[in-house]
Amino acid sequence: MPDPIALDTSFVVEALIATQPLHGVCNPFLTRIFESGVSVATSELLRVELVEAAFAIALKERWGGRWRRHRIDGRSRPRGSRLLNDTLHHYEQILGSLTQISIPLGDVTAVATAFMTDYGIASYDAAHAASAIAAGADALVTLDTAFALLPASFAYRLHRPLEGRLPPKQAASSSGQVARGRRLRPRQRNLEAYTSMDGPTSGCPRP
Amino acid sequence: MVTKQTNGRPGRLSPERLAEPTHPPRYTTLAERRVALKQATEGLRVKVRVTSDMYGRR
Repeated sequence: MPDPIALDTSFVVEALIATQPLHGVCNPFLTRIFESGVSVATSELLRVELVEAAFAIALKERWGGRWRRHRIDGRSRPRGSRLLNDTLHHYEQILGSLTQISIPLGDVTAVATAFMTDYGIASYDAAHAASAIAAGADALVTLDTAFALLPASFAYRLHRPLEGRLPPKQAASSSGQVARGRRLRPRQRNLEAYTSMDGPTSGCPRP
Repeated sequence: MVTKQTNGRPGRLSPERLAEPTHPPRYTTLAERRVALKQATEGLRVKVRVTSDMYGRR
């Protein structure tokens, strides 16, 4: 296991919330990280994203698919506040059980900006990628294929807990196969980078 | 290309700077840490599926 290893919000959300569809994959992977004794690196942004998610959950529970139109609905806020406290409490428990490096956003803004302008990566993803690199992490645990926009020359590996652990159809929908088929087809150069980052030679060794 | 480089890698913080935001486990014993991790990952249940757009991603 790479030490330190960086965690993206997409992975933490699945590991944290027991009702998420990939909890059964991400929770054991987090346990593997714990058992291997490595440090975890996270961006300060992750906490903000969890707060955002907590209030969005409250809105979605109340309004279903129309939750975005009701962002200012104050009736969802008490439930959102309770969810926020629960989410941050559980997140703190995860962090408290590991050696963790919380990278301040102020330390990565220049590199994150450069990632956005040079590779077209979205702002939140850029902040997480820059934080991983700032911490000296060789791998980032994520479910988000958008990180494939970064070139492999960063010697920085995408570590996906899904590989070989899902039925073929579900695994394909969460892997580079779909990235190749749907999302990343216009970006052939980056796709090659993604493929090389995912190759067996760049995969993270099992502990 | 990204131009800011430290220690031969783009954007890497120095060991001194990295020491500041590094925190050891709050729970002292391995057993406590294991229990905390188990509690943290098994207690939170919600009624909806959390998608990436719900925490600001596209």
